[in-house]
Amino acid sequence: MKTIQNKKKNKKIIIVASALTGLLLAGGVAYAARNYFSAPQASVETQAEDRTIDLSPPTTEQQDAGNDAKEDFIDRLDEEDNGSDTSSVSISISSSGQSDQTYQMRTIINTIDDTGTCTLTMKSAGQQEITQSVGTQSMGSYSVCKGFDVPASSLGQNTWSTEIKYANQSVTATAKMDVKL
Amino acid sequence: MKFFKVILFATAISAVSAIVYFGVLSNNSSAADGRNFNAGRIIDDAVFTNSSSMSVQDIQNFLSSKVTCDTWGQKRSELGGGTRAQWMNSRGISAPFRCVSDYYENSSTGQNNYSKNEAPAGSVSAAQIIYNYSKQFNINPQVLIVTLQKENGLITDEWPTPKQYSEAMGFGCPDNVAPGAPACDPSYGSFSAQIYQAARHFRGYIDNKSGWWVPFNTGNNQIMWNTAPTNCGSGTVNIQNRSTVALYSYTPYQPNQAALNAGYGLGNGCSAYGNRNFYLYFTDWFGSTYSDAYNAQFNAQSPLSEPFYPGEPRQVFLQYKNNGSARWYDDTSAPAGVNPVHLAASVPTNRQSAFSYSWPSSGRPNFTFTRVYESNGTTLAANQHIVEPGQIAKFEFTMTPPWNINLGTHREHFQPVLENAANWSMSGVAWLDITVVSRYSAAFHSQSPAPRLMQNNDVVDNFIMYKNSGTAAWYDSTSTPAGYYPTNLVTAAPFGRNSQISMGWPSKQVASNTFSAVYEANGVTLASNQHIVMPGQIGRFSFKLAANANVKQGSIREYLQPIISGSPNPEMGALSWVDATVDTTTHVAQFAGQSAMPTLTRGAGSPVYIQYKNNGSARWYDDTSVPQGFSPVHLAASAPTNRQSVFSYSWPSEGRPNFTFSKVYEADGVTLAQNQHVTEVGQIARFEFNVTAPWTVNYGTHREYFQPVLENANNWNMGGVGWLDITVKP
Repeated sequence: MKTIQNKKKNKKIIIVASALTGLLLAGGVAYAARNYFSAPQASVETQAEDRTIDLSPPTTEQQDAGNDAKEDFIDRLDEEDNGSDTSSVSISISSSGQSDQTYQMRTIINTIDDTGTCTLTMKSAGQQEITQSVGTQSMGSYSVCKGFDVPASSLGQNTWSTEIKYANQSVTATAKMDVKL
Repeated sequence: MKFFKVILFATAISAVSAIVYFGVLSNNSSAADGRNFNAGRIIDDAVFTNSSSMSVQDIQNFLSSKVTCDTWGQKRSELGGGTRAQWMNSRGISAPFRCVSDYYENSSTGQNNYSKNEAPAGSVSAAQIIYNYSKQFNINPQVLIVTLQKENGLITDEWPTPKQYSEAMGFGCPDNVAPGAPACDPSYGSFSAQIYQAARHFRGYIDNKSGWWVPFNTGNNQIMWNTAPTNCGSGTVNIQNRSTVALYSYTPYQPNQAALNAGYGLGNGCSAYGNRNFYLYFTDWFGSTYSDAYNAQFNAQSPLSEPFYPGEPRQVFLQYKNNGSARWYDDTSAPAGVNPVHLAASVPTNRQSAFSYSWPSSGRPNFTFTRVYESNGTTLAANQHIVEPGQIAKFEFTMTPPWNINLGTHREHFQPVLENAANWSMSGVAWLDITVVSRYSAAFHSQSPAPRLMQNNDVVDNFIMYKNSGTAAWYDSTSTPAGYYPTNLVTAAPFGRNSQISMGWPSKQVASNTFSAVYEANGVTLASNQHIVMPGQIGRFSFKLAANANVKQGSIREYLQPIISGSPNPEMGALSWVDATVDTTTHVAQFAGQSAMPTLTRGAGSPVYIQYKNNGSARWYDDTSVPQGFSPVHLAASAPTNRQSVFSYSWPSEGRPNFTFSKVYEADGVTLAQNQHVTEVGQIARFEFNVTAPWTVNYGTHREYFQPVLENANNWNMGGVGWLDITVKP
């Protein structure tokens, strides 16, 4: 019996030792593969010598951020498939400033609309009210008013209370700002 | 057991090391930091519009590196619902679930290989689609790749849904839609349409063409922190370039500080991540979003389908895009202290070009920009001597192959350099392949029959005709204008070889230097000018061939070729040859009579003669008739050869009784021949001479042998040994 037990013990030791040796070998092979076979593919030089392309797998952070974007995307599609609340439609004045002889104002409307109307109203004490109306234009993911270009000469060096009103058949939205010249 | 413990310990150490190595060291230690995000300058124009940054294969390699596809959805779903396959199936989507690295689509129809085992007809890879539209709209493909990732994580997604392709760039998907309307515009519902529209809009935002009503502009803008319903408001951003305008116009939100502090993570309720993630992904995957100060990208070159000709200058051009962030000046616009940009011969640096005849220096083709275009390569820029970032400079210059250049293709490298600057290199090495050919070209047309040359005999007239297959006129020695070179027929293979069978040539290397006739292309009609061969006409060279006595019997191939004599590039092709057969079995003499045997006293002389019949096939000449290059026939003292005779007192030399024929008879031995210094075949030559007995000669009869010889020839022996028995008496 004793002899038989010893043989069983030896057998276990041999199995464990073999497994560990196998692990060591596998680790060695993996290390060699990474260093001697994978390394040359780590980056590819492009025309500019200091620009390299990262060909390593994405980091956990990159992967997670991608998954977050995917989840947001799917959630948003699920919500929008059920339709949005039109009261959330808004307009904002994205840029305003003088270029050459005109004062330009640009807008963003957070919905798709090629048939709406935008109306600009500028008021300043003692000055004649300025009004312009233009249509809307889709930019793919949002819309814009087709630009307000006001002759700078008509504004003078005043402060103008400015309002841009967007309207279509079912919704309106307004953006306001003071323009100081 | 000790040994077992050692193995365990070593294994543990190895495992820890491996974990450290793979888990820690492989993390990108130089990951992008959102806190470096510059809201007014997210990316430079030169980087944003560098459509040459990746080939299709580069894009494919990149896509493959960023995802390990779970094609059959076997892993657990991160969105709940069991496995990924179960989640997909619950939404009516069946495997295979194609990752972007495996995705194929027909750009015209939108048909693709999602949920299919095979790619549909006419489909191309996602990499190819990205590449195609990046080129079409001159947008860096890396910009499109990063946009795909930041919109819905498609690049790293192991199990994307079909909608992630049909709405891949989020184009046509507004934040708000009317009730009942689709979330996204179905007219853009394919991967190709999404990439196309995104690239097209990026280009439109950059170009800011009339009618686009781009919502932002360079300068101060109000950019929202997040979508309007959050009421987070907006912040002022001073946008510095059109590419940043384009990014905000595509995704009209800016990240707040909470978002920028969070790396790729979440900020707070007013955080937007689109442009932050664009910056982070781009920086991590493709490097800085900023361009070098001075960087040139090859843009275009002049077509070089036509060859160059030695000595003839030709205009060429190279165009480079200013792919850096600094303005380029040329010599006419550079302010004091600013280095101008020059085009330079390159590889090696500051190489002196052989084609630089008209350049300002042998290493610089041009010191000024010839044209400056806007980024479209067509519209002329307002300032033709300053190249703004994104604009294109055209360097036009002359390449002049020198007369002595080797014909063939020469690769000439160039690159713009920041002249005299320590950091002079701007990249952009490009080259022009200059193929230099001669305007002179000849084609063999015809020649006289192969001659049979009788050694030491007649001169044979030959000709070879060549067609002028080039584009330049051929002149001969009588018609060559100043500054041109004459066309000669010369020995070839190798050039300058002395001909063995030349006769009456201008030299032993030049068979002819004049045209004996010039024909029109039909080879029959004589041309109006018999000394100029115009392109298409045929020139005839006539020349004589003859074999002197030293030419060996057999066949001789005499290589000849027309050349531009004196030109550094003389060759014009048409190596040709004359196969001549030389017959040397022609000089045979047969004894044909002699005078009576003389009897002399010491000091006395006596006239004698010996006659020989020309029994061979060649004509015999004596010293008065022999043509140049031929050998005369002399009577010689013989047995042994070149013996010095004691009876030679009055001879021209001690071994030669006579150098001329005394008489020449017809074959009958009586009738005198017409020419007394040429012995035709069958005729008889008489050699008369005196034999003089010297005072010291012994009394008795002396047998003196004679024979005719072909003087100085290898085959001098003509046979016909005869003798005179000369008796000397007291």
